[in-house]
Amino acid sequence: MDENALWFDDYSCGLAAIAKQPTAMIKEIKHATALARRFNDEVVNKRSLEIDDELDRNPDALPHDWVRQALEWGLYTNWIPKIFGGRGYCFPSLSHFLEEVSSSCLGMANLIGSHYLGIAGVMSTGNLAVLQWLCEDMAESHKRGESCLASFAITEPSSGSDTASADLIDRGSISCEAKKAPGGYILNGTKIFISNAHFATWHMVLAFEDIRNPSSTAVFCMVRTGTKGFVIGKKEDKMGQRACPASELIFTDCFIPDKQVCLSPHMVKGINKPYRDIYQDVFDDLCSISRAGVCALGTGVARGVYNDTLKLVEETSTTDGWLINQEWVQMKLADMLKNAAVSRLIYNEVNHANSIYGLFKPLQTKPLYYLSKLLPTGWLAKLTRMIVKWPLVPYLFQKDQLGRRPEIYRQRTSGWASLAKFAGTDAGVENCEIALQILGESGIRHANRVEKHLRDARLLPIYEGTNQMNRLDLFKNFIGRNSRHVSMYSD
Amino acid sequence: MMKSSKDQEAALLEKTAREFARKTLIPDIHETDRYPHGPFFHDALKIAFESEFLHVSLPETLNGMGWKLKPLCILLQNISRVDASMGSVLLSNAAAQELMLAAGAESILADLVSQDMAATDFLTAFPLFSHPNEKAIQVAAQLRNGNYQLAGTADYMVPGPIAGRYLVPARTSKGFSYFLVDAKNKNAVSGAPIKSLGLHACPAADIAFSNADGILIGREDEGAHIFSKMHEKMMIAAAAAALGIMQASLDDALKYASTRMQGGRKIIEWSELSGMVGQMAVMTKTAGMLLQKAVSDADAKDTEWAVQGFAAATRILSDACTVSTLGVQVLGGYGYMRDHLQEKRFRDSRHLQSVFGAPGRRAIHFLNQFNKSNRK
Repeated sequence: MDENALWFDDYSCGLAAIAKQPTAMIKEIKHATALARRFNDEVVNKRSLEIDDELDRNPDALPHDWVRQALEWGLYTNWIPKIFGGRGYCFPSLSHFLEEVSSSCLGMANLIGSHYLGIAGVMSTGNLAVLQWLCEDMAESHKRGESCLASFAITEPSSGSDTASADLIDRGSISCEAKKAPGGYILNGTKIFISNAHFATWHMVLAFEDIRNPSSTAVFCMVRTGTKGFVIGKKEDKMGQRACPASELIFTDCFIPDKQVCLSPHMVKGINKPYRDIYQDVFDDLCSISRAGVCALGTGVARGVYNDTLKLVEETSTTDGWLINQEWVQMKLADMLKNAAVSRLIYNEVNHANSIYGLFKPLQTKPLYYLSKLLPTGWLAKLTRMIVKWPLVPYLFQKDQLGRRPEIYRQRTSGWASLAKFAGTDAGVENCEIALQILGESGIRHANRVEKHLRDARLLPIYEGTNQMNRLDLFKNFIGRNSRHVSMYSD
Repeated sequence: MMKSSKDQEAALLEKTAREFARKTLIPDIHETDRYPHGPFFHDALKIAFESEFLHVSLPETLNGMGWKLKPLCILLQNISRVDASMGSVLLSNAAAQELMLAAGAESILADLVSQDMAATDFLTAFPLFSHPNEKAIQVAAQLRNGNYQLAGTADYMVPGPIAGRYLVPARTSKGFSYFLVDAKNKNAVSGAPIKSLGLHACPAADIAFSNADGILIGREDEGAHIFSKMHEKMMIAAAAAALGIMQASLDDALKYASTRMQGGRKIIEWSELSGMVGQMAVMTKTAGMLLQKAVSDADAKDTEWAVQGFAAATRILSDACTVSTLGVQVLGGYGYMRDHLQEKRFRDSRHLQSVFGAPGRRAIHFLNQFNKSNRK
């Protein structure tokens, strides 16, 4: 393969996507953005400061009314594909939606984003059968007016960012064990810092058959709240993003039936690669989606704090005239706008990469996209239910996703996603810092929102892999792959 | 070599400050950091008052330690290493006292010191986070029948909700100056504690004046001059509080990184993380050296002390933000949780960074001072 062409393809996903993606997606993205703006105007802007204050006063409280309002707006099913009973908005539009909501309240945006992270976790294992019943359960619950959210449980007390790397987790110390039992697995262990855990009905949990050999024995399974042996423990008292609770999950001899297992070493027969590599691919695929979302959150906070700063600057008169007329302030506002704009370009690029090389591809090829738009949801969902019941279909789907996708495609999506994650989140935090530089005392008042943006934003460089880990992932996927003598995590 | 009596005095003060912080601030720090949703540290403030921490920067004639910066900086650094909120209460009060001294209002302070009163009554609230050049002053003073009366709102007075009096900038017919107003004056009404980014136990409030009597400090056109005199010294004192935050961040980061395992080794053994902690150490040690030099030059009245002190303080206040950010990142998820104090340091360092005005404008203020100093 021509090396130059390879680099062109790496860096020009957006160009390649022009011809390949359905143009109707643009309309859909505009629609999702408008929906988020209405949601902000009617719900989020009115309550975000109040909820932040309430949860500061009482850290054990849970903002159930927010969860309900998002449910009433249909926000937990909009991005579930129509073939599974959802509204079927295209996946890239979720990033734009999250950017809008996080420009008003990052906590609320993360609450919605974490739900889809749980679903994306199942998608990345390629298990069509679990994805089908899980999404249908969610869609049915929401039709009944009940919330049915997902969470994604990876982090453990002694293991964090290293989980996403097979190399690191095999040297790390993990404790969440999945012991094979007749008809399923028995889970023991603890997960921490799990976003949405207190609200979720379904938790995508990562555990290991052999904790001394984790990447080769990983088990991805769905655990329902209320299952015997499963308790939701302490709710964390966080600096920010308070509207989205993070909590501890405790498993004590918790039995999970095989039906709820998305992926295990016993489920990959016919895929011609070591399970350890499959583990890595699952995480790469998942992070390729989730990190675009986190970049969108960073973009949103970058824009939100820019908007709030501009408003305050416009209202401030100094002994030298209006603050907005001072050159140093104009330069800083320009930097803030640049940070938000550049971050948006980057998450769009990740979405393009996922659409033509990654997990978004099946539903965004033109025929399938337009077919799903034209056919009624009920009919599509029924057809999917019938097809998925035939075991060969889920088997072939999983085999194709985990076994056949070229490595270069995964490097492309994963590389862009890592770049987006640290660039977008650094930009979000940087804009908050610039705002404080400009505003001084006005910036530190809670009522002016800027300080909340900063507290909320500071979590972004930590979760979804620390920004340090994301830099290393970018190196691995785009730099190290063509360099000599490269080995990772070895210094 | 024998230690001088001054050195022994400084060592004793440092020990006293550390003991005070350890015994009176640490036990309730998670609760007091929730103020006003949690309790205020009245007992700790009472002990600080009785230990004469609130007098430390005054002349010896006013029970102080000789109108020097060093004792105040020792206190602020060591107390802020545990809780910058208490440090900022002391800083704000010291700034108000310094401004009164700069205006020659020693007799007012002498009267205050001589009275038997509670700790909070002794405190003078001051607009610690604003610069008179940055935001138009909203309070006007008018001379009526030989008395000044104030009308308007003074923003973000620290510690407004609990102080015994307010030192307020107000416009006069000749410019602006500062006025002292008794907090018991019914025409001076304090708003509720303002919910803010950090320094939660050092509460601020907007104070509304409706023809409240005020005592002029200095002359009617002297506001800018006396602010500048106070500002020169108190920027250095603020940097001492920031240094305390840096030291505590470094201590915790080192401790955590030396025990936390990732990928089969202690995280401090990974080169990237080791470099982050190293950067924290470099900045903290540099800040310590800069502060020491700034304080000794200020107390010795070195010709360049004011401009050099401003430069050093600007650097330290900014680096404290970087160090506290790195501290959060080193601790990862734990650093973001309120059970650990690093998130508090992150908030407090940014709050403190806005001392005496917007940090982004500080370089412009510095250049003005630098040019004035060069012209001399």
